[in-house]
Amino acid sequence: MFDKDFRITGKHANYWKDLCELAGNVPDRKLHDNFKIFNAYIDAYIVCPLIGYQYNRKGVIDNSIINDAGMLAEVIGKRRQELKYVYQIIMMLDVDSEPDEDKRLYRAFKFAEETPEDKVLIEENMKIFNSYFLGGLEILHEEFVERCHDADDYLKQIYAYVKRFYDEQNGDAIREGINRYLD
Amino acid sequence: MIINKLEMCDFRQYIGLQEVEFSTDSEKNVTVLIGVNTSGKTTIIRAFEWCLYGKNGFEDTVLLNSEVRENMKVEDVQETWVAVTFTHDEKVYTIKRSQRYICVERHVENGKVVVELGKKPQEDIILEYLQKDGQTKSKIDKSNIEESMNRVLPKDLSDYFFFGGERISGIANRTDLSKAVRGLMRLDVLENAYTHLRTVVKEFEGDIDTTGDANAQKAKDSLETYTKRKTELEEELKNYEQQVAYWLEEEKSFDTQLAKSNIEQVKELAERRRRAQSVLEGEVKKIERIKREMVNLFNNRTFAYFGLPSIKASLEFLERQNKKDGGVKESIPAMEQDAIDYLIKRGTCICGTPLEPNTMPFMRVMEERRVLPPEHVGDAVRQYKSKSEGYLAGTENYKENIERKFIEYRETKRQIGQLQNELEALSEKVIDDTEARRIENNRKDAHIKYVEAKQDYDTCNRKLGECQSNLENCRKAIEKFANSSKRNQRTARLIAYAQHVYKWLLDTYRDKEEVVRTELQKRVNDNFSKMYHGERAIEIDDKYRVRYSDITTEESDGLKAVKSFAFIASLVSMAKDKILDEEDMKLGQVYPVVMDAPFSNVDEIHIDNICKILPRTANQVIMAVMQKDWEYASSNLQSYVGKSYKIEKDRDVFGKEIDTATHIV
Repeated sequence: MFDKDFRITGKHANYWKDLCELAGNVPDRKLHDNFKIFNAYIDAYIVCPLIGYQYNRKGVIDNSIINDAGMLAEVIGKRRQELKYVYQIIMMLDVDSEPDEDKRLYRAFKFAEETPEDKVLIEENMKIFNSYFLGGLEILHEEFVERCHDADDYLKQIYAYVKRFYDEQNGDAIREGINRYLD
Repeated sequence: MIINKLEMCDFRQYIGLQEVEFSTDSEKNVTVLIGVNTSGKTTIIRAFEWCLYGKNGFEDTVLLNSEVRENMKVEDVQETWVAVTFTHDEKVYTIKRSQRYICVERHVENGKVVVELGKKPQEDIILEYLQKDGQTKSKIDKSNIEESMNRVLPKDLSDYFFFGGERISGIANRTDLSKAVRGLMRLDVLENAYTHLRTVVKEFEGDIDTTGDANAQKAKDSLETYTKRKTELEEELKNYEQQVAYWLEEEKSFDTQLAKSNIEQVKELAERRRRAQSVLEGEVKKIERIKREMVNLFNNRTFAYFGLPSIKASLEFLERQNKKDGGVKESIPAMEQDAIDYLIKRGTCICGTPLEPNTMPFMRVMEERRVLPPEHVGDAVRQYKSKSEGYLAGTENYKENIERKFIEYRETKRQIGQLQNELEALSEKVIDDTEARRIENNRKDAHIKYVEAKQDYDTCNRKLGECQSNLENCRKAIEKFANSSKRNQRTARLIAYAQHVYKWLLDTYRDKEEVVRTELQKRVNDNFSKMYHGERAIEIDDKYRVRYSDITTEESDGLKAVKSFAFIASLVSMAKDKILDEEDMKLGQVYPVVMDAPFSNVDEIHIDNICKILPRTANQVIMAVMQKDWEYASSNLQSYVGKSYKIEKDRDVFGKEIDTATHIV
């Protein structure tokens, strides 16, 4: 899990490129020379699934636009701990894909592919994770790239988006709740 | 290198054998040679240059003394030579260079003897050093002499140590001093090492056999393309950099011209603009930094911030599971099932209670076993909670930090807008002087060209960055392939080693260079303020050029000379103090400073100050000075003088000086 190269094709590859600083060989770099809110692909890959889950948006690969983008296993490996953590959150909470609580608990804490059944299960889980990733990409693309023209717009929107999220979710109450569970 | 002795035989105007021993005392480290004008002070510097490096700086290239030459008959052979004895790395060396001249013709023309010498004098050179016993001399092979001398004191750097008054003012004004500084501080040793390693890595990369893998082959081809592209871009970048510097200089010089104007309005305008422009430059840099910082804040643990509601929900979920019958139980940290199995097998618990099947203690222990890894998720749950705590720890101020940064951004933006308006307003103010108007227009042009060049530079720099990451990716692809093939594994390992050592050297080099720059700036300022009576702050730029940070007027030759003295004194003192040395890395060297008429452009008060500082900063100072300058200098230098000589010309029977017969006494 999170130990192989990862790539996506189609529309979402474009979104991904619009949101992140591009490193390395990107032939269509010029088409994505807008202001970037993420320092690298991996930064978006960690946060987008949570945003997708939060707003209940799953994405499906759409190859009507031809493009692709990806990361090497090495890059993913360096952030595996964070990725696994986000994965666990979604596995525990996503009722749509698994209504049974015990099964959600099991899948959130099962990382080793010891049996063929486990292997299939983890593959399925990754599909869920990645579809929320695509959903999150869509949301952020709408929130930022489709609204902003220059750096100034983007910076304003970063501030507004962060603030709005906190107000919308009642951040103070959430923090208090979390602290109760962790103490 | 410390110079012990100079010997000259029939060299130029010095007739016969002249021997000068220099002071090598660490306290009284100054040797002075005092002479009148045209007595042959410059010849002494040139004798050093010729002997050490073969540089012949004379207009008439014949080195043989004219009087000796005039007395030669056809087929007579005469020799001139110069020998320098010096100490380097605790060994005493002597280098002797000689030329043998043959007389090919002698006749009388208009009552004057004319002696024609063979076209090419035969030159010979010997470099030898004294063995530890103090008696045996060993010769260095002729083919290695040049290289050996370059190691002692590189030829390129020699004019920092052997210089005349007319040359000194130019030293600190050169366009690029980085090579000299690196050489003097011996940073070139590190530089050569890492440059060499880069070629080593490249050769190894060529050794990797990629024929078996199409991707690797593609990467290898791209590697070559990108490497070539990188060199091209680096060239281009250098070019743009020069353009940027050029137009910036132009703009500044027009500004200076305006500032010098007699018309009060023009002058004031230029001054106000200069101030506003420099504040604007600072603010523009600042806003770029703020943008980056804001994005970085947004990228720091974003998932923990936007995950807050989900994290709370997941903790609730776990709590619920825990309350269920036989639900998730947190386990004893760092304990595994094997430990319990061991206790069961042993038959007693840690507390000594017997563990027999079907007893209460046995069942308790087995219950504990059930929640331990690898069988149950209990341990993972505990880890999950502690991870949550860790990830959330950095996000308490996430929103506030972004808010604060955004406010800073807005304020800076407003400030920039105001400054831009102010500048626009200033440049619209009517200048009612034709000449000033013309300069102002030139300045505007230069400013536009500067902005354009800066854009080109930034674009090129970005391309270079892309190219570098492409190279990196190709390398990774090749490396991946190499690791998978046994044949290539060894090469891959060698590359990894070489790259590590390369990085290590490069880091060390950069650290040390930073030390050099900071220290140099400090010392140059320090020395300059001691030498110069006025208030001037000095900056060292990335090419080690010496600049005033506050200059608006042109500088005199005298000021240039003071600046150069401050620069040389600082460099030499840094080498002397071995500022870069570490236990296992000795880079420090000692250098002499040999000067001819160093004070010719400098006024008395500065001579005074320079003399106070030089002997203390350099290991050895040798100077040929004019009698009148020595009168000013001696009061401060006297206590440092270890040896002193007079340069004197012979006189004929009528008491007139003979130009061709000079002695050192």
